[in-house]
Amino acid sequence: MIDWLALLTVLGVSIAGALASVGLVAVGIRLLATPPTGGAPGGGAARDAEDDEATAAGRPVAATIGAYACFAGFALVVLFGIYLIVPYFH
Amino acid sequence: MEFTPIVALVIALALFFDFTNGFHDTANAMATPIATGALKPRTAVALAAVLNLIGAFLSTEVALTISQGIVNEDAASGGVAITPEFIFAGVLGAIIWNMTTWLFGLPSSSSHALFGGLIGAALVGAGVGAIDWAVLLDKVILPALFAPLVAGLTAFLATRLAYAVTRRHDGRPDGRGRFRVGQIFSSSLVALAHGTNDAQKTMGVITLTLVSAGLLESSAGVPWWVVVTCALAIAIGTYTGGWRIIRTLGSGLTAVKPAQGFAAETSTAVTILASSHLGFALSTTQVASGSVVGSGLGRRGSVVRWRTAGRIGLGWVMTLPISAAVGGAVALLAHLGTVGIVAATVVGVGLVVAMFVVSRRNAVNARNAISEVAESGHAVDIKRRRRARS
Repeated sequence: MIDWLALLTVLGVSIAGALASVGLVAVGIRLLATPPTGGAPGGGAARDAEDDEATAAGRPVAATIGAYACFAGFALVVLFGIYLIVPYFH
Repeated sequence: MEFTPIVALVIALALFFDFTNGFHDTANAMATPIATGALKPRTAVALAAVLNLIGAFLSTEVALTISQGIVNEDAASGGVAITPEFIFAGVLGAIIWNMTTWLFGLPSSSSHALFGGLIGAALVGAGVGAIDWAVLLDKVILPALFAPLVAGLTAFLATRLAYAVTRRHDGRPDGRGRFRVGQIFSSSLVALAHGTNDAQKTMGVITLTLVSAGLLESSAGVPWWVVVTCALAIAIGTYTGGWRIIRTLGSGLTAVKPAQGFAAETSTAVTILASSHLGFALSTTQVASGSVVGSGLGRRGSVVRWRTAGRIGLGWVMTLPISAAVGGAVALLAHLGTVGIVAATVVGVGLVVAMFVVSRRNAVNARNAISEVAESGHAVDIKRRRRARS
């Protein structure tokens, strides 16, 4: 018989794990794209096709630190992934 | 028993299967980073090859049952006798199907192809009773249905999250190009996990061949030369790059953007790790394909080509029956003795060569696998050259 509990566990863990990892990187990238306070807003609507680069000019230091903290968190996730993959570790 | 020609033949075929396994699955890890330009095509396949090589050496436990209980491998209780001829038929069936799906650019599971070939050979060798249909349903058919659903839902939600967090409503730069760096890490995890899983399969096949020929005690571990040759075969296969399949996964299903590619690849990595550690094994290929479709559904304004997805699904449905048919046909020929085995080998090699020749008519390689990237790359080059001159 199919192990429904195992399947649901895999589904839940996959979603939680992927959202946590992607969330960390996304928040980090959003923080890196923090504009200087008081700057003039740009025009245009929100588009999902763009992948333009944000520059560091005028970005608050706190945003930069927060971004790198997020990337460090993702690095830990990657290390945990390697730990899971390599049988020698467990 | 001695090192007979049939044993050498089976080992050669198993290594070739390992090679096809490698180039078939490069796309799982590297299609999306190639599509978004996170990695140059050659760099991507080289990275995947190295990680597969390392992964192959890391895999410590090689199961001495290649069919994982689907085929009753005990001749005393109505199962099929594991002989080099039986493995020969199974592996040849898997190779033919892997080459066929590659020719059509379809990502498909190499494990399922191998299971199919073995099932066909077992049906011919020992009849319907040799197959445990319940195990087949539980371990192959149902997971094949769930893998794309689980991965697709995960990737859909992850993509939604990535875009929701980074979306700029004021139209300022959102810096999403930075997701390309993340893609390199998530893809590398997929490649490493692939090496630890898939090279093991061929190691098991070759070791079992040696045991069945009486060249190795069944209690003995995997000989070192088997580990080395299998690791090299899968790494070389990976480096060769199944560019046709990379094209399908990287741009055929949907146009992949950096944030979306990162979400898809991370979902693939997490789903594979979760499935292999929580007791519900899912096929890497099916997870990766599901992730790409899910991420395509998750990004606003992207289009999923359902015709392509349908062709891939059809390929999955046909994997077991066709590789079983080929495996069975080869097993029938092998019953004729040496003449049959030689005939099957000649026909098999002929088919592989023929498919390779046909593939040359519209060759897909590192330069044209993802046409958009190649074209934009040229544009950038021209600009740079002009700038350098002026």
